[in-house]
Amino acid sequence: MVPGSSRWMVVCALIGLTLGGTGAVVTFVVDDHASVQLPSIPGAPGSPGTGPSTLPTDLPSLPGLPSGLPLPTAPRSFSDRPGR
Amino acid sequence: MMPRDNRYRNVLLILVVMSLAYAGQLIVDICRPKFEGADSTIGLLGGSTPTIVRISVWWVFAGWGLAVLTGLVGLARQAALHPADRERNRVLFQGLVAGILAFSFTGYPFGLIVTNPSGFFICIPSTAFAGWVIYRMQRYRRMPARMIFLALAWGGLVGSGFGGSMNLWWMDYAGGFFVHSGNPLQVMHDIGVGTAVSAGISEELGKGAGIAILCILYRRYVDDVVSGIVLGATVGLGFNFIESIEYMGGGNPTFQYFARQSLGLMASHVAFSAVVGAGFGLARTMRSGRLVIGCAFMAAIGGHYGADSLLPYFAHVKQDWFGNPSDWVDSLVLLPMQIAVTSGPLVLMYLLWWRHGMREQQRFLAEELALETLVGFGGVSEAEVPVLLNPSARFFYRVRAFQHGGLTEYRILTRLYAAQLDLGTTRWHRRENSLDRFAENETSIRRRIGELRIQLAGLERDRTGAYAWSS
Repeated sequence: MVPGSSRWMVVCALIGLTLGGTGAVVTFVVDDHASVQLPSIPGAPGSPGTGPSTLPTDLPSLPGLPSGLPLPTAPRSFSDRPGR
Repeated sequence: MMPRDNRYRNVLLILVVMSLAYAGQLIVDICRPKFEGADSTIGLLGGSTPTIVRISVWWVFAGWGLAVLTGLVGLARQAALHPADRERNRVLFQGLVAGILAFSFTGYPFGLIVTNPSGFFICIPSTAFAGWVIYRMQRYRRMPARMIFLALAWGGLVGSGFGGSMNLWWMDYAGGFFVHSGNPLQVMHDIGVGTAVSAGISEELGKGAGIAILCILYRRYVDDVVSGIVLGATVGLGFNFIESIEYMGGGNPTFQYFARQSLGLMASHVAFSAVVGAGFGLARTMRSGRLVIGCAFMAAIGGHYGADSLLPYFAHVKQDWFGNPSDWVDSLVLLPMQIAVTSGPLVLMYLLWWRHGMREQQRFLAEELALETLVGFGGVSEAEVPVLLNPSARFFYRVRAFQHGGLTEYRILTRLYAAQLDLGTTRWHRRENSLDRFAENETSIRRRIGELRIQLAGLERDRTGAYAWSS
């Protein structure tokens, strides 16, 4: 129905892959520890750990520390939450 | 002879695959390298895991048990039934088992709602408003409201439950596999990267499964790219609803509400799933849509992973790039910029498709409605065509009907317009040889239109007294 729509979807896939690729480059090359940085500005929106840095739509903070993981408490873990 | 109704079999297949993916994660977790002091074979059932997570795992196990039991009952009944009744029994039990398997993923989202009821109620108005906007994106023929509610429920309860569970498993066992890879910070980094990958893949597949299921069950209402975008965006909206509740419960609810329920409401999950929905909608109009659907998932997964990777990076380098921005600048300038970079391209894509789809709908409806006026069955009159093709004019006449005849006349006129648009779209599907076998046929729609016309005329006679005078 939409002329050239399949080609546009290929373009859309390339856009998505470019975004993902950029994310991968940033994560692995430019800033190797980007994904574990706490918000660097005390009192910034959402601090600690809930500011723009965690706006993305994943659920990285869902479970808290996995059982048996011998690491410092991750940002925004369940155990950090008030009332838990 | 009517071909078999395999819709529920296909739905069941999708849910079995989702359950197998969950089971695969469970097996990897059981096999994970255990740390000293690990208190459970299944990590997420350990004593240090939050109760809500443990309950959600048991919820899935209970669902599987119930699904197997229901399936066995269905098989036993199938053997005992008369052959003429077997088809109905098969469809019924396939649907039941599929429903139970879907429900088994809802434990965690329900837990979030129960533990943060204020977040739940606060997010309802904004999500409802966005849902209304998405629903109104269909300016001509609209899907039934029940489809929209099902899409919302799938995204919020099943999609988020499945995607969240897959992330939970990863975060549980990944530490065991990465612990020897470097210093603790590096290990956390690796887990974080993997979580972004897991979220991108599992959440998009979880939401996409719902879009696929709705397209299978209600193919007769899915016309083109516009229907697909509406379905996908609604599934994403449901997911975003539950995720907002979850994040608002984690601290700084005001900011989380602002970011997820206002500024980014139509971006992120809504955008990713709208693109997937666009893929399904486009596939509906093609002979083979596998490439389009595959590309749509690639776009959504790539975009999701990109957003999850880039946003933490922006937060990290923000100080270097912009000095020490105030909260206001951070929230009102930097955050919109970040969302524009990470979700903007996909938002733009789904809006462009929507605009293109609307134009195409207007074009084919203009052709089909004009042809309908010529056949002389009374479905559409020549004077009605321009009104049907103009949403503002339809609204104007509905308001006028409300002024003259109240809510009853308003409703009947709304249903009349909807039936006439159904007729035009059905004609178009027939012409394109893409009519669904469960779609209402044109004769039946014309009969429905005739009945609505009679009701409208009756109301008008009652109002003006013309009926009494003429009799």
